[in-house]
Amino acid sequence: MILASENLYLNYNDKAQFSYPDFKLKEKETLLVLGKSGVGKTTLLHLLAGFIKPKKGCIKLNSEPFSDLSQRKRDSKRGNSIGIVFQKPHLINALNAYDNVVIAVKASSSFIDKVYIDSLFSELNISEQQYKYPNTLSVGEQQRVNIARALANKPKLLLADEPTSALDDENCDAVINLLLKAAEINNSALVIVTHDNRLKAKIKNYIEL
Amino acid sequence: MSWWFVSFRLIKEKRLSSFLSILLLAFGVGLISLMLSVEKQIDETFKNNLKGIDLVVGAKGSPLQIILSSVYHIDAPTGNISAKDAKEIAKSPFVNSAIPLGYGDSFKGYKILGTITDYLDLYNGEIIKGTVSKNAFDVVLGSNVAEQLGLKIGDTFFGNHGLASESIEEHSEHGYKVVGVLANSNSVLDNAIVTPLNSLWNSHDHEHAHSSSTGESIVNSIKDIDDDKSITSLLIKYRGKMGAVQLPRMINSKSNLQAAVPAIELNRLISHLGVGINTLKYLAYLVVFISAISVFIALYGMLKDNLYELALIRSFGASPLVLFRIVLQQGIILSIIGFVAGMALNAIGGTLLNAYTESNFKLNVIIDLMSIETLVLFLITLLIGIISAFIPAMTAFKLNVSKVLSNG
Repeated sequence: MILASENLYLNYNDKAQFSYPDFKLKEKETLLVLGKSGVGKTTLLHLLAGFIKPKKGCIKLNSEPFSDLSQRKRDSKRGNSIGIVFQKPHLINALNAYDNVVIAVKASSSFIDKVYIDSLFSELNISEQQYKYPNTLSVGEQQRVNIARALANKPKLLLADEPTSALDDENCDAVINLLLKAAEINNSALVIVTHDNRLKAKIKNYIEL
Repeated sequence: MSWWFVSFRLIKEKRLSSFLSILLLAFGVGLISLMLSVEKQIDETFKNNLKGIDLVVGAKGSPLQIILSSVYHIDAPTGNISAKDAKEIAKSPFVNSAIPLGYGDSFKGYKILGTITDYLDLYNGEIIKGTVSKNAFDVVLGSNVAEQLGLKIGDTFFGNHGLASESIEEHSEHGYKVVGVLANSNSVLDNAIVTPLNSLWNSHDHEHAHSSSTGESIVNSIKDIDDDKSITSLLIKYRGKMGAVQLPRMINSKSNLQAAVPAIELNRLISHLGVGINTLKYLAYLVVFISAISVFIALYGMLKDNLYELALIRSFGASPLVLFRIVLQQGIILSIIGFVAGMALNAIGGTLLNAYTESNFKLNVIIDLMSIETLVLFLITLLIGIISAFIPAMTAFKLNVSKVLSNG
């Protein structure tokens, strides 16, 4: 079991209270989490990524406790086992595309496998952009670097935050296919958190918040 | 790729604010280190030239002027004294040695100094080419003079009466002949043209002008000077401690002579100069303080711009300490670049200052980049970088990743 959540509950104040349905995810499985804005999608993603701790309930990663760990331990577990594809690419402008990917590996203090990173760039069709700086890349290319960065540590779990919300149908398809392909590269489990109902057609396994 | 590289790239990304910080740091560091070298050099140059001179005796006038003219060859002499009076002082039991000096001519701004060979020994002057003067109108050149004027052994030149380089009256009947060149001694000797006293007497006693002959033996001790000659001043070294108490009082009581104690006059002069140097130093401290604020603002701005990116680095598994490091290292890098640029400014400023003072005061500011002061200044600059970066670094350390990523 890659990911399992039980009785997750979190409140910021009396009004913003979130409780989530339980779910489990095995290797290579994909889960779509649908919900309108304000229902706590981003909060769920941050819980799964270990940025924040739930008030009640727990999350297990690789069948081991995760949400109960200290901040430092969650940071390092996240670094080693979770890749996050953010809604906006948010690459570091000061570094070229390759270094943007390498920094993710470095941050998790893992071994920098250059051959693997090169292969990510070619799998994602951005080999030619490998040493360019983010401001010279198109939005689509930036999104691919963003995905390459999420895969840099060969994560068991890939989290995607609203990857398609701003895209037209054609590009929406392309990005989803890219994510599915990305998950395939490392046999990762994939969780996509979105309000984009179009994805239901692509991914059968979904929960609604 | 290292975190240093990341810090460096982040600085490079924000060229303008980084440049401003570096510029301010460089000016502060450059100004302070230049002030330190100048202060040290003034102190050393002045003290170095005082070795073996306890007292200077000259004509009545400003004691500081006597010191400046007779020891440092900067100012004009106060006037002449008679050899008879000078010999009397030299005979005093309190006097260990007395070196007579005579000024009169100059050549291209360098004073031609009439004296005896003991004067060279005072500064450990070593002849590296040629010999010491054996006849009147033989001259020995200081190392700087030989270099600046391009004169060689055997060359002759005509001195100007007085000290100005553009002086009109030229003693065309007496050519000086270069017989020796001195090694560099880091003293006033480097900028002097030294000749026997006889040269001055012969060129200025116009009625005897044509009777001077190469056969005449030159004066090499104060005892040998004729009573009717005159000299400009007398450099005295005491014999025993009582000299310091008795001799100045004894000389000053004579109506036409003035004794000046170099150490006292010098301390007075340095304390006057010190006011100016201190003002510049405070200015430099102010610039450094402003540069510290600018480093702080630059790093804080950089932090605000890179908040999301820093949060991302955390999201990849880096500990808060890594973010702290990245920001702190930016401060360190800025201060190192600022320091290096400051040293470069210091070297340029020092060279310019030398070009100016060489011709006016014959001071030589040595830019010593390998001194303890430089090391201390480096550590202080580093500390400034670290202190200014500390608050931004703490902000990065305490970054709420979830909040920043939600708002991105």
